[in-house]
Amino acid sequence: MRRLEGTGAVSPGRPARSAAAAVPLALAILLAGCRAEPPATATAVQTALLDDAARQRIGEALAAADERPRDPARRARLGAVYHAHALWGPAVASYRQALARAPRRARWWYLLAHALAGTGDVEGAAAAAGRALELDPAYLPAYWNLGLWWLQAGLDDRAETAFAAAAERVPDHPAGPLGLARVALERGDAERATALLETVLERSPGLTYARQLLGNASLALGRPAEGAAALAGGAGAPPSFPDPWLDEVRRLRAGYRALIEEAQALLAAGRSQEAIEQLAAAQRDHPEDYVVAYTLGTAYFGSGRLAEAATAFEAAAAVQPGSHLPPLGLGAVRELEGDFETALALTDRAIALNPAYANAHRQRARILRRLERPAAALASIEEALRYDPRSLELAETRLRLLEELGRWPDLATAAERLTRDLPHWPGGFLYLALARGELGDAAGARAALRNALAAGAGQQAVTAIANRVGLQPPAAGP
Amino acid sequence: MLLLTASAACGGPAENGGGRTAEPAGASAWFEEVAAERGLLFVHDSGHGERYLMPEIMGGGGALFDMDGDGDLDAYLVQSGPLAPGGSEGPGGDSFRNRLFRNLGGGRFEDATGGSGADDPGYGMGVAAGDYDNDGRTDLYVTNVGPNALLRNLGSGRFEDVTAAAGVGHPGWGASAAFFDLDDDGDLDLYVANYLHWSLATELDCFSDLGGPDYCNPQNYRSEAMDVLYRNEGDGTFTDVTVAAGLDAAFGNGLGVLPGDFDGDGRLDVFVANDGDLDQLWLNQGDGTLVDGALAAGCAVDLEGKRKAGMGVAAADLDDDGDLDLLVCNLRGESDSLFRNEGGYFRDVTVAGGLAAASRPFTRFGVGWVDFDNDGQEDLYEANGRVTIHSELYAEDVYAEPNLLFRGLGDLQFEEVLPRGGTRPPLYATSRAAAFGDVDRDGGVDVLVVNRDGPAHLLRNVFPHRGRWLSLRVLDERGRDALNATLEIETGGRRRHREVRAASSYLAASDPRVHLGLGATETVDSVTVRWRDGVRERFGPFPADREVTLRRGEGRPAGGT
Repeated sequence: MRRLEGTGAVSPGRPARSAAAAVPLALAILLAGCRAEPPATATAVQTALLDDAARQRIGEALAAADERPRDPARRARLGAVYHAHALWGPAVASYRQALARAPRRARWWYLLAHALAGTGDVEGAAAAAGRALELDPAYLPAYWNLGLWWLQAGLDDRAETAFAAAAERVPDHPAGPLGLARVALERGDAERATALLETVLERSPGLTYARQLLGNASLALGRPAEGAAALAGGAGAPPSFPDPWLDEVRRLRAGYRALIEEAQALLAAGRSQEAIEQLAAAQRDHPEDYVVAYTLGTAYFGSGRLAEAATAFEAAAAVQPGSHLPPLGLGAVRELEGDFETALALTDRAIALNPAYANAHRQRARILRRLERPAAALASIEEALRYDPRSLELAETRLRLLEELGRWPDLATAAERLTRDLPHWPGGFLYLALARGELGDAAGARAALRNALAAGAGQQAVTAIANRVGLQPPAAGP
Repeated sequence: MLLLTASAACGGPAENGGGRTAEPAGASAWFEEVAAERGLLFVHDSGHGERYLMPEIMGGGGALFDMDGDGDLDAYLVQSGPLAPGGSEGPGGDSFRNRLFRNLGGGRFEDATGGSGADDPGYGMGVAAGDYDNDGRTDLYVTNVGPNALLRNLGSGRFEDVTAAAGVGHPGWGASAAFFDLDDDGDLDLYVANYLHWSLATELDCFSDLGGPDYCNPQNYRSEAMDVLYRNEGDGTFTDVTVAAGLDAAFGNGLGVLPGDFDGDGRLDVFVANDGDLDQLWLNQGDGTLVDGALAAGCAVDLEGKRKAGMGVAAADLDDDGDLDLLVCNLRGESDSLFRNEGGYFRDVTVAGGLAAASRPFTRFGVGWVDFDNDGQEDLYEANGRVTIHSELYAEDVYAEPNLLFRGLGDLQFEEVLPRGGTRPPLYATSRAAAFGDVDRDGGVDVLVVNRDGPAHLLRNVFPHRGRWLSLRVLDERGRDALNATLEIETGGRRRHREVRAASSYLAASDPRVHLGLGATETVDSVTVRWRDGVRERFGPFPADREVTLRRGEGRPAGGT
């Protein structure tokens, strides 16, 4: 981090930020230790911000560390417990105390690095991660984070070294070339970045971060269309590679938020039963807790236990009658039970409570389709799109409903707009072709079918639409 | 052994927060906080009670504007107040009304709220300033959680609420707003960024990283609100043209708004910073419609592809190449996004500009590129304050952070100044709006900072040995500040481009006068104004260290468009 002290002269232009100008690694680590030292334990104010379970876990770890003050493992565990609860200052201090007694523990250096990054000290973080890699050169996540931290610190040559080491150590892993491409972009070398990224994408075509960087490189190379296409494909944030050392720290989290987030993670991973066990236990302790009740409802629902889901949603509604989510959940339960009228009434109640929630309108549309009321379903989908205009799923449902209703002019208009907004989605062109064909615009339909092919539509889908509107299907060509 | 030595050598008192702001001896302050002594007595009240209600953490706003045409900057402060007394979601009582302060000259203020009609009682967020009715007086548009308010300036410090007649009382949660002439028809249209669909009934229970109750992330609600665009009909009324203009194609949790010609086609575009979602760059198509070009131009997300929590926005041509560069402020853990306009696309130069690591530990809202030391390079001020609780605390207010001040080195390069935020001692508050202007007319730009649940700060510029300067007020043929007129300034062999701008930052309106730092240069050779209709006039030369008014029709034809 650069700071200007006082009002003294400033060098013209950007100060040099090269490895040569930077503090050497060992000195950087030393200096990292010399920043005003945070307290080794959480302050009373910090502790007061914790919930009971987290406070208890920290208390236990602190007692264990104090019981054997010369045991670095206990001190490091205390650091990790602080770390898990985002108490960065005490975590840093505890890790440092542990490392003072056991300075060759790569894992603790690495965790110290993350804790320092939590305080915003990215140079300190990079220095500590570098030390971790000196001690354990095999731990790949450290290279990746090291490179990112050096980049943030403005030291791109050091970042390059870290990413190059990752590429050398695990040649098939994308971390190294991705990082090197990022460094190249930082230096304005878009050609090198492009070459690296194309290699990455050959191996990992689904890596959206690579597409993001490639889009920026294309813009810099004066290829706006390619750049726009890559960037429109979805802004991909840096990937998070498996990091077992950090995962261990995460598992030390305790408390209400940890419980909820863990349950939600379990649900997202399809491990509903484990989530239910956790949440049901929490509900016994906190029967008045809306979030627990609602999340439990979603867990039961996800595992098909509809009666229990309904009970949980009703409990959530009793605690927070103004929330739209419990009646929406209950509506979904009734829908699955086949009671569509009740499901619709409950969904309408959710919408009355929060008219701006797109999912509620989406659910209403789904129920109305089951009730064979496509016109009303279309109105609900259009309402959902008002609040979630970027949802492709909603947009496609709208097109399908327009088709079902035979509203060809509206379908043509909607599909045409979608082809402008999402030129790489072939579905828009297919619907446009259908609408144009139904409206007797054979030339327009042919053009749309050709565009669909160009956007990657399958020949079978194109042929099906062509046959439906009485046209010769265009052949896929070079 | 080395480490043991290090540990032994270190220590000292821990500073609240990461312990990274130790101040060197001899560092000079750039600002001193003078709000109370100058009569600017305003304490924002979020109304926070037992529950954590999302709007409480997002206000308040403020403006520096010349309400009475005397050349002194007056101040308008936006109040919030209780959202839920007795379950009521209605506006606060008399003690929770917005306040108007008249500048008595020399940067001394008196509360001029009583009888002014400017004391809008809504749950206030921000304010935009502009002369929508072309009467030469600056009007105010106040955004609220609930219906917004248009306050027509009647002169002599009196305002009339004309919201209903004008048709601009959008009932959503308005954040930043901006007056600008979208269609170049000679009157100011109005863009309002809306944050999210929210009500007490839809409020959620959320928790901080530490486990205790806290404010939610806007994504928790999944209720992004569409922004609103009002077209000025020229007769005191506006028409909502949001959908007709195409704004329904994309929106997020809107916070910051900045109109400007980003693609150099002469038409005014709008950049919108969204909280946790893609930002939008609404490119003016010239037919009343806007198309979001942010993704394709590389400024919807940062270089890494992260959808950051966009809050405040600043734009200026900092590399003297004639196009608008862009800065978006973001959340703690996310750096600023500094975009260099490369003429057709934006290049993220945050790291190279020196802002990546320095900005990352803070949650930045109000922002301004202003040449505080008058050395000819725009500096950067950022008003900071958290939205959720973190373990590193700076003050009793758990959301408080220090603000940041960066010295501009030219060509989009910055260097952080200590003492942090430019004041000694650093000020710790939950800062939101920052508005900029020379309130004491001494040639140094001052800062008005509005702090959530705290007193507003008036930061008087006390930088020692400031350079020379020139202040340019640019008025159109009606005597109105010519918002978004562009200035080409020749001085000492350097050609600079500046824009007349009131709308930027976060929830704020700043003085539209163009302030130029000149360093040691004693004369500005010429100023060429490109008015919104493309006509160009040349003014000058001007000697330094004075305020100058450039009136349309009083310059020399400059030719070209």
